[in-house]
Amino acid sequence: MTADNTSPEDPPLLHVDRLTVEFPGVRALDGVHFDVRGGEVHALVGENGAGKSTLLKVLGGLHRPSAGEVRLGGQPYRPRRPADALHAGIAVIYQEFNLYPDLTVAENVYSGREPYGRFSRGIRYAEINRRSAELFGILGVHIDPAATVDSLTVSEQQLVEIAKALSVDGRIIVMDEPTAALSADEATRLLDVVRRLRSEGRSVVYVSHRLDEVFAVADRVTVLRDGRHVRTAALADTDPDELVRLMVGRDIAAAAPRAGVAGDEVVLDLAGVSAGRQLRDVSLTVRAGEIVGIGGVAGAGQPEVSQVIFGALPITAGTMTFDGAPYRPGSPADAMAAGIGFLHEDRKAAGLLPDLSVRDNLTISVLGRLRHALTRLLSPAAQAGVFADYRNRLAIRTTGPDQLIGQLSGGNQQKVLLGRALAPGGRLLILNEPTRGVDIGAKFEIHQLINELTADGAAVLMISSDLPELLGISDRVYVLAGGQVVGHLTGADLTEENVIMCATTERRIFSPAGV
Amino acid sequence: MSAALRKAPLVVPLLLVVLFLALRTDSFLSGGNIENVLVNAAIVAVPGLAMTFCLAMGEFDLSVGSTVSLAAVVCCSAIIDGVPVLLAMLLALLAGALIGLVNGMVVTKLGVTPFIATLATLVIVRGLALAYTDGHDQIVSSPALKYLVGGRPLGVPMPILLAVLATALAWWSINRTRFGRWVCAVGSNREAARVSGLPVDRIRIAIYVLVGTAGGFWGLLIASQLQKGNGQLGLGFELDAITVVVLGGTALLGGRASVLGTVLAAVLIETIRNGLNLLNTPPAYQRISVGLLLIAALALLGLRRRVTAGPATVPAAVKEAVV
Amino acid sequence: MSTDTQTPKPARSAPASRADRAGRPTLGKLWDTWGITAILALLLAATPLVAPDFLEFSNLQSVLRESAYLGIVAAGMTFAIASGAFDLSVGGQLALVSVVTLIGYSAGGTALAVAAAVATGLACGLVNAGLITGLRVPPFVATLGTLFVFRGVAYILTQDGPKTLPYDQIGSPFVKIGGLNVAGIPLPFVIMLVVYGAAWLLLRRTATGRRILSYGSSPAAARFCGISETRIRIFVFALVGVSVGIAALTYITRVWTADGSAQDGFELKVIAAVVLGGTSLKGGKGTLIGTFSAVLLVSVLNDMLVSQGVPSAYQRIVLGCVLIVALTIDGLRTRFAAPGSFRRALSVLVQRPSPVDGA
Repeated sequence: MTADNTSPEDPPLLHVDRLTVEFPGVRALDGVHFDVRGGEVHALVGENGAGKSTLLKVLGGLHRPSAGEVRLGGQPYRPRRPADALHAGIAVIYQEFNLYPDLTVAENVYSGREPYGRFSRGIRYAEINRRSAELFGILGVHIDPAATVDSLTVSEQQLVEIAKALSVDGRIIVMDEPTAALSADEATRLLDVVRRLRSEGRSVVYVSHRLDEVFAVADRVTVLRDGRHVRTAALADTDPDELVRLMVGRDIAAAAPRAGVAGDEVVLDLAGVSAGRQLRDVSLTVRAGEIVGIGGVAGAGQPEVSQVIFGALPITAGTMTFDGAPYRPGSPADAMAAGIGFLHEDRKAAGLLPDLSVRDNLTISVLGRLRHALTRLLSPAAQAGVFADYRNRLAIRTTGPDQLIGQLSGGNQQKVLLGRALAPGGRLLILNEPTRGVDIGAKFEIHQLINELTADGAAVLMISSDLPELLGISDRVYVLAGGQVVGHLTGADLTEENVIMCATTERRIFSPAGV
Repeated sequence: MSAALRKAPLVVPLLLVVLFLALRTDSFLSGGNIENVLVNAAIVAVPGLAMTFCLAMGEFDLSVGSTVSLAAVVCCSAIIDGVPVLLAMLLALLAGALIGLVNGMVVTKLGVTPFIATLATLVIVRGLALAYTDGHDQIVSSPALKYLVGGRPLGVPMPILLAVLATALAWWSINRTRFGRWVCAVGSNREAARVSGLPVDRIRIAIYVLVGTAGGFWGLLIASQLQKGNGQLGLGFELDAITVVVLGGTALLGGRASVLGTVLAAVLIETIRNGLNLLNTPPAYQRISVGLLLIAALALLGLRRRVTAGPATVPAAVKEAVV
Repeated sequence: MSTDTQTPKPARSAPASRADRAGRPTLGKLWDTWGITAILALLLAATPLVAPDFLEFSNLQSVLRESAYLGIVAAGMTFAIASGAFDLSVGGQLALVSVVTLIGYSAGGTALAVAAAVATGLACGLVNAGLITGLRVPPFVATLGTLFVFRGVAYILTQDGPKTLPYDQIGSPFVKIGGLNVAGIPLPFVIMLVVYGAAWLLLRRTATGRRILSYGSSPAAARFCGISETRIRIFVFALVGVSVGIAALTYITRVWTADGSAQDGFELKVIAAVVLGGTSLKGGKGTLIGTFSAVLLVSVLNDMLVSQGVPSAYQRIVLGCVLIVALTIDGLRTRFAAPGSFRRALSVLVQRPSPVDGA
């Protein structure tokens, strides 16, 4: 039934029994069962907040359980710190990068385990550079082991994280959303590496939102919901629909149907826009009532396009027209004044104002009009009004306007930031990865909201690395590669194959409706 | 050549200053004066090297100035009380190490921000030095103590010899050994260091002890020079030490260190001080010149960052400087 | 540890340390705003036992009078720290502004002195802002550099000896700034109250205040909210400069004399007061009530130690320890405990620090 090397009667390699983890006021894990057999790939799925990350952090020695037991190879396993986990042969790749930007790739890979000379105490650089290069060979990429990490792209950094885990030579390798930052090509290669690890007899715990990957690589799957164990099954005994249902706890449609009607009025027009070496000769249009998608492999220039339009990246050639008038923003403030709302792709680094309340986070872009006419002082009532508005409209789940935004779940944080982008009431919305790191329920709600907006006549430019999302809700899609537009897909041309083809090969597809 | 310059950009201003002083003054190039400059530079460079580790780790130690005072007081009063000189010097170093240990424990175990924790110990330790001496000078006359600054083993002034040794050790340690790389790792991303299993707290405590000991050593050098200790010594020295490190090019936010930069910065600052003296400039201008130098160095760094656009993944803060 | 699992769990995926139920004023939240004030109140309540002389009217007056200049600069510094920067040059600024103010007074009387104070402070602040925004020098280094420079200029201006107010000027309106009482309350303290009132409005009730906090909380996110880094920096450092200008007026009319060495180490005192008050050095949070209370706390403590005949050396030790203890409580809270659970902070004091204790 499954591809494990041991029979199900043998004690599993890793056995998690009735594990409970409590934080003040919250029970993040509640009596969870989980086990990993030798030489199997065990997928762990669940919505954000289901407790996956907490479970991984217990395994990695970052959290300690309040109750329950973990056994590794039959022995009690109680890591007190990350070093204990590494010692026991458990390597965890966390979702947040844990790299030193100032150090070299090889130093990062072998951090804490550097071989060194007995007398000189000097690190053996030749050795760690060679061994790192070998690991990248396995992953099928060329990354210079002597380069500093801050000179790498995001996907290269993710690969360094993976190489780090491989270098431990552990019995169990735990991967939390390892493909989130990878291109389709790199993701495919990573899945090959996972299979190879299995064939070497190692076990992999694979956490992913992408069910296609889970079905491509895993032997068994465990579903968590609200900190509780829901089901463990062999992949052969289940299907994606059932998993989604178990994760959400109710039936859900895969993607919202399109509601908006594209008008003829051009809201935004880019003609031959370049920005340094990052963008070259980009032309595109967005019409009122339309959702225009931008796709491509990671690092093809998608965020740069959005930043040029939002005035965050200076334009070096070409022209832009917004609402029929020439448009050349010098800063995001200019873009906002012109009527453009913006959602950044990196919620944590460039979206949240972590020390501020949800109300302040939502209203920060419209403070100017929430002032008393005479005193110029902010009106708390007006702020509360705007907040209540969007709280209802976006169904933001929060205990109150004064709650710190860091205390919300990822999906609700994203809704607050969407509210921030919407609040100025602009004609154009630029949404970078609107549902990244958001659970399935919230994802559906956000898609519905984008739909409604276009029905009201707003124009939406959406950048997404999630192909089903890109194809599911966009009217048209531009594909970027190397900072250039290499495809424009509409109607029947709008397929996954075509997007991937344009993004990764020399083929160019421009649908007749054309640029 | 250009690569070497990029690693040690202070060479250019140093050469310019030396050239200027050589042309404008008669006495600058005399052997005695050059030696004088180098000795003074060496005295700042040794604690500067310890502070380089601290900044590479992304933290500060503001208590050094007070440590200088306390160490000098401890050493001198011990000598007055009849303690053998070597033992007295050892006691002073121990006092410095102890202050470092306290700093390290407060920062790691109690979770107080380094800036504030060492600011508090700065106040406390000076209070201790003042209380211990009751505000009086502890005057000694000890040839053995004097040897620390005035001695010339192999014909080379002792401080220079010590500084060269310390520089070599610091360079090797920070660039080539596990400990040094771990210090930079903690400075680069402390959370990652913890997850990678590095003994982060022990590394941090070790660095504070190192800086404290170096502060104690600084106090010994000062006591050796002045043949006295009191509660007023070392006022503002913490900023001097940080200035040479920052001017030397060690990243303020941690992760990278420039050992040679620290040493060059110490030489540059002492050369300028010396030159201003030779040119009969009032002391007030010396303060201004150090301040301006610091600003100029960092401004140049900022401007250079603005011209050479980095790769796509530079952090947002740096990106802002690029745009 | 709480076994209360029936409560709603809005924050499952959020970092564990943030997992409280906000919205209600919890003990921890109250502590954030009023903790230092509570300690101050306790200290004052204990005074009749420890230092009966303290409560004498003239002594209270002198404590308030002396705390004004520190307090006024600390108000400005609260904004700088809330924006994620600090200004190390305030000591140099205070010396320079004081010297220039005295020169202004001897040249053109009270009006010119007041104008000189505010203008010099503003100019100092703009110099800092220019270095930081124009030349992109990090604030720490820029203000460390200008600390040397401002002090140096003050030294140069006083090469012939410190500037002083002549004794025969004791009746002039300028000198009265420091000496006058309004309904028994010293004028410097009245000025400080006004400054704090205005500062509170600015931080809590204006768009600028929100933007400063936003920038301090996340510069990158603030940029995409259309907030200009340059404007925030200029505003904040100019504000610090002006606050030093106002503070210098209350300072110089008390001490009557100034030169380049005036108030050595002042910058660290100011930053200590702001942080003691509960403003986070990381930026994004600022509490003027806390700063105000911390300034008074330091002043009261100082006065008590003096009145008890404690030598100044020991006063330093006590003040340093107070700083560490206050920050220790704060550090433990933010590191291990949910903001909403003060009980947790205390439990950490007796247990091994770990996010969750072993089973």
